[in-house]
Amino acid sequence: MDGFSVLAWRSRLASGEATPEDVARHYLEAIAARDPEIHAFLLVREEAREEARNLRVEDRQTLPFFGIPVALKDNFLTRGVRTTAGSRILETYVPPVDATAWKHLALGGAVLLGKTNLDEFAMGVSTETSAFGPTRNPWDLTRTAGGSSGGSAAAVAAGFTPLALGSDTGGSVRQPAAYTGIVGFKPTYGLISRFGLIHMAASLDTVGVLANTVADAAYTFVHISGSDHKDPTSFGKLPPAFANQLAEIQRLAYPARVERLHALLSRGFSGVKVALVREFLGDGVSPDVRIAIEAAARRMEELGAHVEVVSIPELKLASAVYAVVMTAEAASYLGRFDGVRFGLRVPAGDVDTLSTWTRSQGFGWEVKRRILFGTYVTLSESFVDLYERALRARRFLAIRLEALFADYDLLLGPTTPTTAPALGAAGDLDPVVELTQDLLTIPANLAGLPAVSVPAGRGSDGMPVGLQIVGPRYSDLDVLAFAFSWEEARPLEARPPFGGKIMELSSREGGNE
Amino acid sequence: MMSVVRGETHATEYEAVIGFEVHVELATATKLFCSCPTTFGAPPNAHTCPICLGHPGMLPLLNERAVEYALRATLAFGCEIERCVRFDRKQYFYHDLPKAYQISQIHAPIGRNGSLTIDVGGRSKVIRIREIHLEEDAGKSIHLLGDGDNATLIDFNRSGIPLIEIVTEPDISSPEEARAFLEELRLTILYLGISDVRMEEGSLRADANISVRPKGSPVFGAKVEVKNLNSISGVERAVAYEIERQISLLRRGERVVSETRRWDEDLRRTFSMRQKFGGFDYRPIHEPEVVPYVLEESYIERIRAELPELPKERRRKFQETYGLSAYDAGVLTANRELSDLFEAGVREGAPPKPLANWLMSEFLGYVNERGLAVRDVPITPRQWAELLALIENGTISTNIAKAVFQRMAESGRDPREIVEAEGLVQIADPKALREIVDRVLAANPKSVEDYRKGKEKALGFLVGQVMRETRGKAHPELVNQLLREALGEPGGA
Ligand SMILES: [Zn+2]
Repeated sequence: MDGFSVLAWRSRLASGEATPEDVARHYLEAIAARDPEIHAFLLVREEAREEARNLRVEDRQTLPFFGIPVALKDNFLTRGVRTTAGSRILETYVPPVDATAWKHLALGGAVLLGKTNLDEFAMGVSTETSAFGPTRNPWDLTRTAGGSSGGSAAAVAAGFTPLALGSDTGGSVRQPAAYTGIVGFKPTYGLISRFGLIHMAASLDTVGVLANTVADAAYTFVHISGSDHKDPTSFGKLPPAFANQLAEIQRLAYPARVERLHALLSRGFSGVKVALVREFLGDGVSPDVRIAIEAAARRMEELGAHVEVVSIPELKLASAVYAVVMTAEAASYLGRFDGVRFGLRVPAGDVDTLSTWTRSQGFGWEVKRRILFGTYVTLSESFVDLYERALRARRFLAIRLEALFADYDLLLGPTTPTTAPALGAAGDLDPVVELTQDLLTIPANLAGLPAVSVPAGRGSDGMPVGLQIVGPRYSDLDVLAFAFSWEEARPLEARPPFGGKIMELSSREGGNE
Repeated sequence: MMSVVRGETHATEYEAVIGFEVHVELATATKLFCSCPTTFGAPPNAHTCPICLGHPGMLPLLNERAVEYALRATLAFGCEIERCVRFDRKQYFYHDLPKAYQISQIHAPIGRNGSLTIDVGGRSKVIRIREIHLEEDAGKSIHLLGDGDNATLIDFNRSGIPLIEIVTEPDISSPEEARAFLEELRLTILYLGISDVRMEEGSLRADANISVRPKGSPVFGAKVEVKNLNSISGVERAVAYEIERQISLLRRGERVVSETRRWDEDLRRTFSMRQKFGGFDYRPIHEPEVVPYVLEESYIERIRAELPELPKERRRKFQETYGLSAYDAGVLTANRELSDLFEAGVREGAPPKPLANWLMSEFLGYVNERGLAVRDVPITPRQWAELLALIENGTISTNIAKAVFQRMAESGRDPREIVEAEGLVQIADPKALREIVDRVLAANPKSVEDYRKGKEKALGFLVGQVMRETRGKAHPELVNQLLREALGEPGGA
């Protein structure tokens, strides 16, 4: 099953068994054949083939991403390549700089296949708020691939790319990963530079990795994390042991670093104390999902983990706190789109009208809804009551979770309450219900914790179920190690099929299985 | 005993209540959150980058030098220091505000509860400073109005330039105090070296909040904010005008409207800009992109230790240690470089009072005439001491010294070298001078006769002739004495 993983390609590319051009061509053909149905991409770069061809063969051993194709959620700035954030207002925006996370990959020899679809400004849970139409789930085209990183998740799940980056503000990497049966990892806040990521809410945003395997996610994570002088929030005071591990893997030459990473991740379950969060399995979580998660927990126990059911009633705060903080910051951030300096400009007789018309025509309904909400919660009469109280509640929740991690190594629960819903369903939901669904993923963002979603089986509808593992700040490698162990241990039927048709296409390349 | 007509006194005696909000542009080399230069006068939008233009995906990078400068000011004005440096967003839409918010310190200004002492009419007064906070500047809009063809041009060079805003309590009560406050504030900032405080270039911008009320009333009158004050004398005039305007409104039984008014320096009056409907709602949120950090005690102490001597202390020292008059001390300290030069000259051995006189008259005259700065004149403190020593020991006359000074100012050469090279040593030998005196007397019989008839003025003419003969080198007092000897007492013959 590792045939299309980053590490499998990595080994073939390093030995010369495959060339970067072969790999790029393979994926571009897959995209050309099936993306019109799925719509994972907003922009596909045919140039990728030539760029792959231009890689210097002598770098194949040393560059960690030599010839590895990657897709970026279209809210990562790519110098000279249009970046829309899924919005009309940026439909023609060509950024002057590269996002740091992408730059790490590019300097490592990665090849940019294209930019993937997302909910407008990452505001949504199904890519349906994208100004350029929704992305479909490769497992079932009538269903959503999730959001807001739905394009990136679908691209990996459909076999259009072995690796994609997304952003996770309230679950936007983990939820689509769960819906599409792949791995979605969100690191500790600040560990991966957010420079060049078009924000949604700066105090919550993280850069996330979407891949087929935990090892791929971990491999990517260690290479793109670290402090960046362009992002002051990336200057975390790392625990020394963790900082040393990261630095060591980053320094080692390939393939030693892959082996070191595997050694680091292969820890097994023995002695790990896991809290199965009762609130994560409450009302609103479908029986299918509950069964899959409970089965996973039992299996982990059989293999030596110590699992206890724990209640964290304070999690109830999460949605409301998130709604206030996220919309306040998002509304504030979006004020800059006024038609004056970049992006869409709707001409008008005077500057005030110009900004009004530009914003009115450039933003979609979900963005407008959040701007209104965010504006309201920060108005002076509501300010003290809503915004300040939300900040206090956020700190309270973070402290509560931190206290829990004194007794448990990790938290466990489903990533989503159900399997991927039908397209169009999200629009019918009451916005409040929509926010409540985020209860599972939001706490990790509010407290800045690392979290990963890994496949945990299938629902009765045949759709993938995601298992979420959350750890304390800077336990990123522990979270990934646990997920890695689970990936090794989980029943075979829980593994994603890597998009059947694509397998045939790729087998033409030879040597892939 | 004075008789007071009650009704009238009640109606005519008003007092003004004035507070200032002063924005000072910090003289950092780069902007508050990016590395664009802050130099004045560049072509529009030359000093911009994706960060200060508010492009999506950019993150602000705090310029720690700006924090240091703000800290210097808070220490100099005796403020309590907020040890956690953090920022908020002040949100509003304006086309020259790229991010639609200004990164500022709303909840935690770096300094609070300071003060500045001013002297007006020989009396000291303490003006309380409510707070000092750091913030970024916005850009500048120019609205072009044509025949139905309007345009707005925006220059973002100023966008993101670091400012401190100094907010006073309403402790100022007259135009003179307003002027004294701004002058002292400006001078203090100049001494701190954190801004060039040029009002005409906008690096110091003052807004005055002015209200009047019946004298002794505990209630504040309606507050009028006066903007566009771009010189210190303009501030004084604007404040005087606005107080007068408000008093005359009240005297006529009319109401003062709470509003923002613009000062027009040419017309010398204020104009209404817009009414204020309550406070403007900035909907502040915490700035999530600038990481808060704590100012270490040791750091604060280092900045405190490095604070320069402030004008007030220096003025006192000039009077007490160097025996200068309050006026002289004021003139010398009004320019930090000049006062530094003075002190250095004294350290090199120059007598304080004569040096002060020379600096205030000859030197300032020279500098002002040519539009130079103090540092542009290549005379070292040691050379000043030397020049004054040459005068003191009679080597050159004061007149010659003036010529020597001019040459020193132009060339930077040592005064002794100039005096020797050009043969400017004073002629103080009575024998040599007597010959010249005799020659002059012989050549000017008319003046000699006038003097003897009692015309004292004629003596001056004759002295002048001797000086001319010696090309100014003759010792003036000796010449005077020799002439009187030769002529005898006036009217005595
Ligand atoms: Zn800049």
